[in-house]
Amino acid sequence: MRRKRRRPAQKFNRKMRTKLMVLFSLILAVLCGLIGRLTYIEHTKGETYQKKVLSMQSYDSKTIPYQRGEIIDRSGTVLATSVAVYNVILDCTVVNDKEEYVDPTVEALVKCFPELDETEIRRIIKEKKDKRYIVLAKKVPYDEVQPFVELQDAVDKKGNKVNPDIKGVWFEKEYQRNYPFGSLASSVIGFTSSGNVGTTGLENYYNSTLNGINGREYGYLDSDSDFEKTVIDAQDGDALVTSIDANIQSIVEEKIKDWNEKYRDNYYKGTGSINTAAIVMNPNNGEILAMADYPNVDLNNPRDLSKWYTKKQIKNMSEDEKMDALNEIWQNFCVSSTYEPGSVQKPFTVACGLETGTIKDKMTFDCDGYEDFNGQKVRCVARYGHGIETVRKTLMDSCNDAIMQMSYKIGKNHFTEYQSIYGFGQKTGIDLPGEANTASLMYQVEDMKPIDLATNAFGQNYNCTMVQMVSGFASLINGGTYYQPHLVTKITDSTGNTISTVEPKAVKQTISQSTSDKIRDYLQSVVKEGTGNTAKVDGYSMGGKTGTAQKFPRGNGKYLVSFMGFAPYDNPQVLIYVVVNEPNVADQPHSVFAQNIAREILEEVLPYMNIYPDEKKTGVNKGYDVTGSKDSSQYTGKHNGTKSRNEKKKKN
Amino acid sequence: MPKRRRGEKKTTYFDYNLLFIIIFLLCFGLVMLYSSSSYTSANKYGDSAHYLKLQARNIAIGLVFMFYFAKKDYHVWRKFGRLAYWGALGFCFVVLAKVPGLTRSSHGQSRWIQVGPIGFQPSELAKIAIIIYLAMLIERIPKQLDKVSSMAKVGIRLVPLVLFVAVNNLSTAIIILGIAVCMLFVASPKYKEFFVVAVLGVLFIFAFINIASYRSDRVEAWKHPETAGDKGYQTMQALYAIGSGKLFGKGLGQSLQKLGNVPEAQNDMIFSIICEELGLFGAVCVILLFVLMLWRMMVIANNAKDLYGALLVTGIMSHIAIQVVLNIAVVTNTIPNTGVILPFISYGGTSLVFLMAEMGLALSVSKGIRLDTIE
Repeated sequence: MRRKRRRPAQKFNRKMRTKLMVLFSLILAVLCGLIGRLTYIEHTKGETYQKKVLSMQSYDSKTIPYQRGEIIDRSGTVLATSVAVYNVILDCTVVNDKEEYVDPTVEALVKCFPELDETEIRRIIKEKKDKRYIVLAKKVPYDEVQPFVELQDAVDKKGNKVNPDIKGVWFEKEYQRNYPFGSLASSVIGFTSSGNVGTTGLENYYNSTLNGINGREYGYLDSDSDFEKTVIDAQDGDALVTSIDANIQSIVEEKIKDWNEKYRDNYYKGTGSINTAAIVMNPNNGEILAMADYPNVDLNNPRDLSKWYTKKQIKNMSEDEKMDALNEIWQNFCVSSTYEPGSVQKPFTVACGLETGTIKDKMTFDCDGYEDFNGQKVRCVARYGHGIETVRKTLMDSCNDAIMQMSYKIGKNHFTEYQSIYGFGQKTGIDLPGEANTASLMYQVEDMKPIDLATNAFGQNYNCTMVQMVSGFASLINGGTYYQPHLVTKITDSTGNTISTVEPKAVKQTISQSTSDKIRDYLQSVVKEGTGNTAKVDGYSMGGKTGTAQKFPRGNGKYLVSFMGFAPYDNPQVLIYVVVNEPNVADQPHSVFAQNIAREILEEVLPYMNIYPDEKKTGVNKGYDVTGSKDSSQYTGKHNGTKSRNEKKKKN
Repeated sequence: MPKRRRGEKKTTYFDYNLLFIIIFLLCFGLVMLYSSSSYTSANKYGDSAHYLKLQARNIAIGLVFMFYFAKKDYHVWRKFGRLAYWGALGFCFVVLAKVPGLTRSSHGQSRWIQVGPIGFQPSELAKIAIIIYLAMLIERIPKQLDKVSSMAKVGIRLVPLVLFVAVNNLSTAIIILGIAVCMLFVASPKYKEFFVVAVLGVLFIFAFINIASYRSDRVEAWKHPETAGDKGYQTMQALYAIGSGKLFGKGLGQSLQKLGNVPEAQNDMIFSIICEELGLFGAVCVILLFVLMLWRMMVIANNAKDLYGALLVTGIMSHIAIQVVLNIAVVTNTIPNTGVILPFISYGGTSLVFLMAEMGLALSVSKGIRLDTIE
């Protein structure tokens, strides 16, 4: 029965064929509908979508970062550099592509980058499956990336990958500015913010030189709408070779820091001084060998205030106050701050007199302790007078009365002319940003009254900057040539080829050789037997001048003390200028604070510079430390800078 | 007709037209697959031909299956009807139960059976199984199919498999259901009832879509793909591709959307890349190619030696038609996004191998045609 039913094979009858035809027609109809839909999309949205597609292509371009140029010192020590760091990027879609990728990848990541948290990575892989760009770690150094790459690329003897399942991790190169010596020469070098924007110092002044041009990898559509990929390599920035000597710089900074640490909380609670700054210069070409100020900043962490303020103070600061505090620290005292220089001005006044013939070497002046200007008494440091003063003795005693009398002879025309020749009131043009403009802080001939002339003559009542003072002073002792102070001596490209060298720029002749010789001679006496004796380095012939300037408002007991010195006396190789702004002591007006620092610096710098002792040792200043105490082991913490030969001169 | 049959020598027929269309579609598929996948596969695997190689391998395996099925007398499969059905059911159960050691998951859903190096998706097996099983079932009772009750009886037998598949692969369940409905429709003389079933089916699908929350997100992405964020992203990118193709496209290999914008461009969304590169014109050509294929199958079914062969081919034809329609409908956002591949062109091993096995079946049926009976 069953066989019978199966045998005559069932046929696909006419009715079924019709229905198959109906089915086919239905399918055709639906497909036609879909073609209609396609046409509709193309017709109504074609233009918009085409633009949309093109606009989505734009992010296909990738920036290849350039390397910012280095800043190096005169002997090749790197002061600032840009090191390649890597961002660790995770492509979750790749890792999740196969289950067996997850464990090896996570394990390799945790092994090579200890700062990564395993559970966190696993959570990211699980929860952000379609994210292709997850930054796991930022700015990882090359040393940490290398083991991971090795792990990833390791092959066995047959050339098969050992770890083929480590997937979806790649590294994004970036450069980070790095200062190997941290705070060394911080105000000179400066720092960068947000990558490659120089904010202060040389970083700012030479920003465009240091910066290169980013390379780019990008796709574009050519005239046939073909997608093309092009790579333009990055051009690295140029490097700066500076005249800074890292050794001298660190000696200077060490001494300044030492002094300030010793005087911390000495009279009132706080740092050893408001500012302490020093410039070491080659007087024969204007090259700055060292330029330091205190407080300074760690360039690798320039926004950290914790070194100078307590946590509580920082917490209580508003954003503006914090910014002000930072700016204060970032500022380079040597070029941006103006002050009344005090008696360091006196050699300038004497040189002006000698040069104009209004003062002669043989002249004498009678110091009676003060000068009277319509009832206003301007006093000398010796209340009852120094008595008869020669020109040399005037400088040795730093006598105000004698200098005032000289100023009458010189006259305001000569005086203002020479102040201008010395560069006061003008920017020096040093290659650092933020140089203060002191033009408005000088007296013009037409509005200079006798009292202004008299006080200007000993360095009060007008303002200058340290770099102005040191540059002018260099011309007094080097035979009268004024060199523009500068830091950068050479610019090289990233491979070290010289692009340009900066030759010493002799701007003008300030005084004659003979006047210069005379001034040097006077200044040697100042250090040998006069007020600058504390600065004397035993065995070296030296010259110098002290400065003790009363700050405004007068009579509040606040002083800025300084010392300008050079060695050797007959052929100056090095010029140093140290300024201590408001030393933290009860009795401020003593230039010994600056002298002690200068002596301590020179004691180390002179031998380092291969300058040999040219005098017999006399045992002067033997055993004194930076505070001027004889035995630092018995240091009690209370200093007044008092020493047997303490100068007791007060300038007004 | 019996008169002409007598005394005539046996003339064998083979539908070379269909074979040519298949091979053409496969080659075209390879070209488009390479075009759409080369960029992403180079990024991901460092080898732009990664997917191309795998697909070539799949085609090679598929060709073996196709020729085996073409060679074999299709009547053999009548005996395997029940086995195929229960086998598919069993595999689907294994996947559902996630039997360890036998299953593998991909893209967050476990749809794979993996035994050693061989892995496949049982839901693809279910499609061919349902064709073989239904053809056997209907062939036995063609006369009874004018009764609704007997049709219902046939339908009920399919419920377990459809439900098993539907749990984690709704689109395949719909395809299986569609194949079954088409085969019954052709075999049965009724119209009205099918119209009712069709309406009910559509209502059911919408109900299902709206009940399951995970599918509802898809519905939202379907209605407003621009504002649905991540969920509508794939759809929007596909639409951008279609729209930017214009009439003649950007030219082969010139798609911009395949550069990472259309996710998995070589899979479900390959039709959007075809539209972008070859334009509306190319898309219509591809559709016409499928129409041609369906037409050849209709011819084979109409001239099949027996009802069983005709039903097999009807099922295969419905399968292809449904997948093509659903795929294009998804790409053009006509229906909510659901994973249906474009036959012969999209990347995918299991589906390609089973599809080619089905083609082998159809070719085998065509061999049974006697030239003198062709209408």
